[in-house]
Amino acid sequence: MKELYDSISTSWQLSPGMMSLVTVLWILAIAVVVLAFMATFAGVTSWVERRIAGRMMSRIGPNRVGPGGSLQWIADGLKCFLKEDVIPQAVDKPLFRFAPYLVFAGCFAAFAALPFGYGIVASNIDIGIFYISAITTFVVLGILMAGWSSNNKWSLLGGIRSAAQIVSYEIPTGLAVLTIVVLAGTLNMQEIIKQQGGWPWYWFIFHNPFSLVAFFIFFSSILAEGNRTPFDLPEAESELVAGYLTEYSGMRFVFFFFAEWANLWVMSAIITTLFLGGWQIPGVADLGSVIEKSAGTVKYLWILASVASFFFKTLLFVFIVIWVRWTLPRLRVDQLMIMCWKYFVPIGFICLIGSALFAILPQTGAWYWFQLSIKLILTASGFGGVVILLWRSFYNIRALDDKIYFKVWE
Amino acid sequence: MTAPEILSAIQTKFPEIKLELQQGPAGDPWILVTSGDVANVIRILKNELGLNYLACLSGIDYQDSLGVVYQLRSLSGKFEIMVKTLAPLENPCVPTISDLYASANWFEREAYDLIGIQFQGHPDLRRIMMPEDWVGHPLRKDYQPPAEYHGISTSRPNTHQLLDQLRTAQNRSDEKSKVDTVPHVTQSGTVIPKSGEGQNL
Amino acid sequence: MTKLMVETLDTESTVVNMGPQHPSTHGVINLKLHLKGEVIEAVDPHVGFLHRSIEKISELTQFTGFIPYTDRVDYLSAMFGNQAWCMAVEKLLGIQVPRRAEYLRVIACELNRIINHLIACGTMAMDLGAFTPFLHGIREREKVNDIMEKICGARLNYNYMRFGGVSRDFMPGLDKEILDFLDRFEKFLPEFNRLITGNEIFEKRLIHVGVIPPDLAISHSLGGPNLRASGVDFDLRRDFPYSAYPEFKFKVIIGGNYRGEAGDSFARYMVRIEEMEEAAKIIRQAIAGIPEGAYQTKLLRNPVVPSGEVYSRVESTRGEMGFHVISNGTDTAYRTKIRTGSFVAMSIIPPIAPGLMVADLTAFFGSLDVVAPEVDR
Repeated sequence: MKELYDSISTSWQLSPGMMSLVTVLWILAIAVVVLAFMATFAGVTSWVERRIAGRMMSRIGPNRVGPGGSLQWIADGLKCFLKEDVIPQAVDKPLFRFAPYLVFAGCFAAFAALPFGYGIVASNIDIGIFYISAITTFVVLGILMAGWSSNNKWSLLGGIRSAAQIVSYEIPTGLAVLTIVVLAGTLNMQEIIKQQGGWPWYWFIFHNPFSLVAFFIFFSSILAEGNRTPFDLPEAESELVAGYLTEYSGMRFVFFFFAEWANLWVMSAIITTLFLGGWQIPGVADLGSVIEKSAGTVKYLWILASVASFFFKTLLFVFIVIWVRWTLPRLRVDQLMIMCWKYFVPIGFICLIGSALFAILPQTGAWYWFQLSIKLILTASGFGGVVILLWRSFYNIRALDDKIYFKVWE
Repeated sequence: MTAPEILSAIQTKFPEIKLELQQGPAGDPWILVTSGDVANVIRILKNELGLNYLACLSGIDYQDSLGVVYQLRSLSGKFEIMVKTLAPLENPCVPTISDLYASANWFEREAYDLIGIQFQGHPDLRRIMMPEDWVGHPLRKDYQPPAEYHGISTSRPNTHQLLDQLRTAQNRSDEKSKVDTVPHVTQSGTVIPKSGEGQNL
Repeated sequence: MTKLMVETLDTESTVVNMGPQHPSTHGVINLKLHLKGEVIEAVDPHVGFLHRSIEKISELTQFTGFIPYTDRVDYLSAMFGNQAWCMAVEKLLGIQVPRRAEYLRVIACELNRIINHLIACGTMAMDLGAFTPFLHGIREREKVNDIMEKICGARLNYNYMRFGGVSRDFMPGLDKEILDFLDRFEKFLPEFNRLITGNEIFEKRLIHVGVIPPDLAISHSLGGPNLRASGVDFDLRRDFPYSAYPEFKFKVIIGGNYRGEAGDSFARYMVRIEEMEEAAKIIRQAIAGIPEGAYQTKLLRNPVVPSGEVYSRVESTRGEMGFHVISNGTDTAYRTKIRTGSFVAMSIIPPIAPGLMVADLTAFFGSLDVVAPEVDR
């Protein structure tokens, strides 16, 4: 992005005043593009989640509006947009109105530092991952405001639970991120990806056993950050009706849920960047240098391939997050807190120290073969675990040999 | 143990208590106890004969008196007995057995709510099915439901009455308008017809 | 905050209303919770929102005409209401039910037991956040609803039993269909258990939560899975035999062998899961041994019942469903008292709930399998 901007500023000879106007318009254009992507993704994810949930529950899911129900989210969005804006009488009106925007802004701001492909990032800041961790805590403010201003004891309970949960789980998230940062040596998202290679054993997840453990800690903690099951106590439908969202309806409700679904992308993109090699393609040893050396249409094709790789890995994790939501029950509040403080934090520290030890190992001679063999063993066990999981899933499906209606599209 | 055996078991140990074995032309037999003695008899049945399970406690309106029937059961001995007591209509007081069986707490609340029997010694005797401020005991034979509750009518207007009222009101106000106007029914059930305008339904 | 400061703080508990409209109170029930933070200090249930005065209606309707009302007392497993009412009136009339009719009644009731426990376990999982097992249970219930439609014509409120038997005989081929369903069901249950029963989070939410000691369970007149999970070995089908149950061999499931302790919510859940298997076994025995004969003792459409009092009870899915019927020699009852398992299960919430957290109360309430129509009638 920056290169494009630089090339425009050098090729067009403009006065400083016009230049600053072009800068502002450029920033606005990028923001609109990112917002469009976020909104479309949130909408399509709502449809995809309902279909996946339906198939898992052996029912169909929305399939009437558009082919396979794919326009359902437009219909829902339009409906909520046209609904009457109901604000209960006794709520704290300024806070009530402002809370959805805070939640939405906290989520949207994280998109500024997320990479999408080689060189495609809205803002390639050097403190990338640190900025994302910090800015996503804005949602805590929004949730607390929503829970308090609703003038409803159930919403208050939901808001307080959520604040405690998100703030607590920032720590294991940060520790797991640090585990990777120690290996990469930088906080910049694009640089972290460039430090990893194409083949899976060059990814940071299989770098050493501690980073594998840190992956699982990070996955669980980021689920807790996003208020997804098994950590969705704040919006626990069956206990608190809808938790801190109870008094919201219409467009304000949609803002909260858009933020939650867009958060799926943020979660998965961070996991892909830190652990799965980002936009690296298996088979190409170092995509960054390949792209820099090529030119013309080949360069753009490589960039497109990197985008496709990133999207594939991120969408795979979006699917896994949705899968986990519709399978597992939720944890109780004190169990959640115990798991964070008594289990995740100590294990996170151990992972950090272990990973740091691995990071300072020399890269030559016997050490190189030692590290490579560890990476290969971990890769084999990781993919072996995935194969066993898939095999058991198909075994379970075949065990109920009355055909579970397996057609995905209907 | 059958009912006569239970009766003789209590009577031999406590000859001063007045008990009577009764049975209708059909159905099960029961032991009739006076309302003053019933708590003691049930305590004896529970502690001496092992009837540790209260299956049911019903309040009944016998029109000349109010009755309470207890179904007691022994889980280990596998036998049951029905115990009945009667109380006068003017002052229906029966001692509570909620200290013997914890489920009697709610059963007696229901009997008080629907039949009107006062259980003496009950820790928390308030209505359970009906709202707290309801007047009357609905399962009594002479119960008349109130006409309204907090301004809400308890009866629906009869359709024929509605149409008759409507026709007379219309004929008085406007000879030419048709009957198929939408009537406006107030909360207390009176019908105010829309005079003048007719709506095609 | 030092301990001294906490002791001198002037705090009071928050009163929150759980219900009457609430996704996990299984009907219209209001629980007033007195909370201190997340921990419950006291619970005050307010019931009566679904009071439909069924007992008063029994004094205005003839005996035969009251049979559909007995369906609606517990509409999730309606056959038990039918059976208890018909048994009461048959005792008063002094008539004998043919053996084939008893077998048909048992098959219908045990099928109802299976589908009711599917919903009970499924809604328990749903209250804890796992939405999928409930819908898998509903999928199986749909198959049984189709069978019920072939038995008596209705899917939910059956009106199947009559005084002296049942209303109609089985269609030809229906027993094969029930056996096919049972084959399928016996493969479904391990899959269901793999999905949710063995889940670590699910077990951690339920073990040691809401423990009911056995003497408190007996004192509160609990029945069914609630009572047996606390370790009390009592089952009306075995100890006070009625209908055709003496001819079948089945196990009475007692709690205490599962993870956790006897009387906690997980034990109640597991007792229901295993009772479903036992119900399937009873149905197989019944279909294998069903005798030929009449399916109903022919009666007048509107019998005049001699006066007397009778109490008849069946082992319903939620406990004991008992009908105390008083007749006065006419064709209408003088007084009916319906005793249901959910009513007494509600009464055990105020003693056990203090000390639980709000999330635990949801799990505990779900494990008691309370439905509002049974509580309020």
